[in-house]
Amino acid sequence: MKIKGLLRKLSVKNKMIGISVLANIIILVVNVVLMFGINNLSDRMDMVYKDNLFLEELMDSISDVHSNMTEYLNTKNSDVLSDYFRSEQELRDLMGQLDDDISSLSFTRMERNIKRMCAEYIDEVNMTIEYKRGRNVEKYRIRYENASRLYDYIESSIYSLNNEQFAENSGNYTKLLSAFRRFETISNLVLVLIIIGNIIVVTRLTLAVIRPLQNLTEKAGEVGRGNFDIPPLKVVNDDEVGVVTEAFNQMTVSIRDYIDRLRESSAEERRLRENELLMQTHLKEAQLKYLQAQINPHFLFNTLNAGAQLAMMEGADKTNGYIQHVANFFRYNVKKGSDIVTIREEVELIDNYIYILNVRFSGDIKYEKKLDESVLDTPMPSMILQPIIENCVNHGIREILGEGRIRLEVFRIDDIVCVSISDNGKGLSQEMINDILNGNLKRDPGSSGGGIALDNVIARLRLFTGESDPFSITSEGEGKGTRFDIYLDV
Amino acid sequence: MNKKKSGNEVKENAKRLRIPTGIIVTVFFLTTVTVMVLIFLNFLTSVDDPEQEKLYDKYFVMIVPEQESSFWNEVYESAHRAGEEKGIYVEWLGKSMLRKYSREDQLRIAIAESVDGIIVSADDSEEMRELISLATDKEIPVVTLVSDCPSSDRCSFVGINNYNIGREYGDRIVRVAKMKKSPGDTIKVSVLVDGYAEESGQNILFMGIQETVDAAVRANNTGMRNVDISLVPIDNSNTFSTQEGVRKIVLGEESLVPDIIVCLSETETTGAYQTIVDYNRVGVITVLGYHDSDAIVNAIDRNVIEATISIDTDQLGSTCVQALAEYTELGHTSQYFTVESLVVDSSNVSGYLKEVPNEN
Repeated sequence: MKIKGLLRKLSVKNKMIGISVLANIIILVVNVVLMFGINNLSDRMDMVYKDNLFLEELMDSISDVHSNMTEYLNTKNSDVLSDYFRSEQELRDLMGQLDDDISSLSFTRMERNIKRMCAEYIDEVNMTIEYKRGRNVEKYRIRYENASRLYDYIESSIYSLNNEQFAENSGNYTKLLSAFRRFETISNLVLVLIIIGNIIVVTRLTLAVIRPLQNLTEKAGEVGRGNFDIPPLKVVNDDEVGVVTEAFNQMTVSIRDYIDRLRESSAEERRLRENELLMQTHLKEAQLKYLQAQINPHFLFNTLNAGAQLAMMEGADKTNGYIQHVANFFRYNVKKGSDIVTIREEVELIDNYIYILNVRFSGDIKYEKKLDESVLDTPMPSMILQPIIENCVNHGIREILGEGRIRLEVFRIDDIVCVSISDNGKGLSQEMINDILNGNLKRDPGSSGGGIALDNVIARLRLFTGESDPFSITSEGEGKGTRFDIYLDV
Repeated sequence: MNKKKSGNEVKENAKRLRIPTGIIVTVFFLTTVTVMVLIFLNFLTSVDDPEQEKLYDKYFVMIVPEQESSFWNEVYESAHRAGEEKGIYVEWLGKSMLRKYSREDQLRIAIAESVDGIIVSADDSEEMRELISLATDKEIPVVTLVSDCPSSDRCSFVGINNYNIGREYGDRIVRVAKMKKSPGDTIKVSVLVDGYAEESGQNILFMGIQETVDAAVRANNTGMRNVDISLVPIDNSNTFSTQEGVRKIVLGEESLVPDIIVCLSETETTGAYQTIVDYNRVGVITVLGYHDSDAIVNAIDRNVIEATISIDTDQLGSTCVQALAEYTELGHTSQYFTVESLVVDSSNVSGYLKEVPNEN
């Protein structure tokens, strides 16, 4: 746990250095072990023939002793004698290295025998020299023969031992050589495995270091694409990446806060603008009210009434009637601008309107009506029928030759009251009818403004009845007139 | 959307399955170290194959005239085993040396090696006597084996009763002589002896043969046949010289070719047997052999060799070591040990037969 904590605190640089050091240490350890094995093997190989070399040395030394002895016997030279003593000491030193155990191993046993024989030999040689110095010819000759015989035995023994050791060592050498080859193969295999393992470990470790950075990059990309609603990243390590991650987390929070503040301030601005618009509307309304107040309906109505009385007094009955109708028409307009009215009141308005039109256009329109008295008190929105009639007159009847006819019927079918207006005008095409019903008919820019268009009528009827089709238009084609039907609930 | 979701799930699973890197690193390290150690140990044990060394308290050597003979092999094996039990290493001296030395030289070598005891198949020569004295002077006890040096300072003799063996051979010669040739003829018997050995044992043996046969002839147990026994010296220094000697006898002048050949060593026996088979003299010349090596026993089974003397080699070897050990420990031992001997012929050969591949 402690180590884990410590590792977390390491900087990325140190982590990366650590990974490479770790990988290299593994390789190094493996190499050291392999090198140790190889060195061990080559040392053994060097040692293989060491025994043989030693035996050669021993034999040389004995030969020295023997030849020095022989030479001394021949020459009695003191230099040769000192040579002899030197070589004898040398031989004794070498003998010291020989084993003296009675062993089950034939080499050791043979060494022991050679050692013993050498000791015996040195004794004999010394005696020979002693007798020679003492001029005891007979004895020195016997001793010399003994010594020579021992020399022969020793030589033969060393030869035997050397031979046996050589055979054994050659076997060992072959064994070592094959072990060496095996070791070489294993070493290569181990190295390859270790390298593969190393790559895996280094990759894992590097990924462990890099992963937080990758996460950070991914999240940064997301933020870059505009998504600020990401959960805060987990800070795994206390390294540079950890610091950057922390900063990134703070940054996203700050950006989010900033955006919230921006959103709030823009909402405030919008509210202020709406208020301003409302104020302007109110102002406009006030201005309208002011203008309306200027045209006081009572004033207009009283003025027209005064005109009517004047006409009556002058005996102009027609003028009197006309002015009366106009006065009623305007009164309705002023009074019932937006209220709910009865069918009866609407029908009365139509009566007035047609009268005014007939006076204006000198009685061109023939107006018929057939009313079911029982349903005339049925409520309906005001200013519905007049625009339809105006439409019939302006677009239907006006454009035909001969007498224009308008027929108004109010009747009841079950629970539905139907108000039907038909003319004998030029009629409407089915496309035109569809356009009118769907509200697609653009108001003709040339037509007189101020009038209430059919789309307004249809919209208000739909609002009032709550039905989607309270209004229908039928026309049997060009020149065959048009019929408008309004359906109202009883 | 679904794809994304499953991808996320996979990622989550992978996260759950992910082994911590620390564990991987540790496992990798441990595996590396273990593998390296194993390789190293395996390598070291494969190279090091040390023979278990055993140390001994005493060192005896055995010196015998022949190197390649199953008789001496068996004797040595037995001596070696007996020594092993007592902490003594018994070495067959001539066998470990590349150069072949005479018995006397081998004795000198043994003395120079200052061994703890010498077992030697001696003879009664002056040189042998002197060498045994020299060894005794150097406090190396000497035991003579099979052939003695009675006048020397040897501490003990382990061998066979040569006179008895001689009598056995004599009996056998008489029995064979009865069936050979016709009455009134002379049966020639050649006793092969080591031409270079001045050995009393052979003489005693020969005496045993001579006395037995003479007695039989006198009692007319030979069916009116004369028996002429002669000693034929054979150069026993190597296997080929032995065979050559036997060949000379077999292929010699008709009147001198023996009817019966008596061999007093294993090499002579096998030599004679080989020669008789090679020159198609089976049935004509009767061979009386020595020792019960597999080849000899097989030859008896096939009636090429009439009979042989079986000596208890086991007893021979172990008795030598026992005598020497006793002498080194107590300073004295019995002067004379005899081991048993037995005649092997076609009547009892089955007990000696081992399953060996035919040599011919």
